[in-house]
Amino acid sequence: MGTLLQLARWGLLGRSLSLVQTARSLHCGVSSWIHVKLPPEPKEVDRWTEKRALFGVYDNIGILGDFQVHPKDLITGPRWLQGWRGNELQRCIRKKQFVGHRMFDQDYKNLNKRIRFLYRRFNRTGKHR
Amino acid sequence: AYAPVLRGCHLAIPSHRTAVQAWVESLRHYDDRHVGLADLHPDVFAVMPRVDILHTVAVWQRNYKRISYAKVKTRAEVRGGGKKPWAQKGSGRARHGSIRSPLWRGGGIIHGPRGPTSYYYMLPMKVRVLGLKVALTAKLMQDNLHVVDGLDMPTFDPQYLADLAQYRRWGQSVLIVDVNKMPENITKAAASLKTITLVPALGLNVYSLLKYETLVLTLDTLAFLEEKLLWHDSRYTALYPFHLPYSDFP
Repeated sequence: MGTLLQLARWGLLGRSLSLVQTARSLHCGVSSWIHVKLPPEPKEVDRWTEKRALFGVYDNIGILGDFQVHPKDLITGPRWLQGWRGNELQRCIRKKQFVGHRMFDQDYKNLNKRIRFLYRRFNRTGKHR
Repeated sequence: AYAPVLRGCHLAIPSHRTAVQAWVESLRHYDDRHVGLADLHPDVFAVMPRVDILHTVAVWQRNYKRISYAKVKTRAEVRGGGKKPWAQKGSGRARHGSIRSPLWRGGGIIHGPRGPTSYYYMLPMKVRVLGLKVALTAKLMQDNLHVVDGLDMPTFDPQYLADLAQYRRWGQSVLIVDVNKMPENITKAAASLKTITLVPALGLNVYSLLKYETLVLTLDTLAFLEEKLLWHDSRYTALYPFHLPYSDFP
């Protein structure tokens, strides 16, 4: 895996920074030791944080609450993806419709290039066109 | 002593089935376990135990909100790589058109994750309703459902609630559901406890029912849930979404 420092940098040590990747040594012979590295200890995950304890609450707010709110209204994220699903071409087109007018110049050009490429790829090549 | 609290089922039960029953308990005293008896509607609390529906609904709850933000740059988006690095013929090296092609180190990724992806989908409404019914049935049949006449507590001490749950052998985690506004004592007590959670009746869902070992419902919540879940058994199909006004509903 790596040294303790690398583990800490990759955020794998979790809360217990005092974890030491114990390396034991096997003595085989008068003066030769083999250092055996053990697998990293599993990080301790708290299953009862606020987020994990309340996951899924209000998912049935439609059926239990008179249908005024739909569970898709609870989704947080990019506005062009809230309560909608599509393949890559559809996502690019929808992003252009929603936020294309305020994207940065280079990102907008890349988005257009991607749409052009995907349109030609899906509609002009392959078995399904 | 007081008269026992007897709760009959308000909605009509089909003639070929009888109600299932549960003890009504109380939180006022640590040993108030037999305050009364409640009749529960069999079409909500005694349905066929469909584990596959529980799985479907739990997976839906995990995935429909998921938006993955992983994105890598393709060869068109990586900075640089417009110029042909060396002439096509003559240099002896392999022929290349750009330094950012996927073959190169630092080049674009061809089929990597592209942009924020959403995994949204909806299950049919009746499947989600049936999932709730199966989960409630499972809780009742596995002795993990407790009915309480009210959430009045004598103290706001979180230790009292924890000791009560331990004495009555409720399990490691308790989910307490109520329709009305919850009294201050229990709100303060549950705020500092990790595995005992207070949830309004609108927030009931299959994932939480599977996560928490015990479910504690009040009598008002029972009536609310039975009314909401049984309506779907005998409704007409929606001609237009339910959030638009209908003349005979709500």
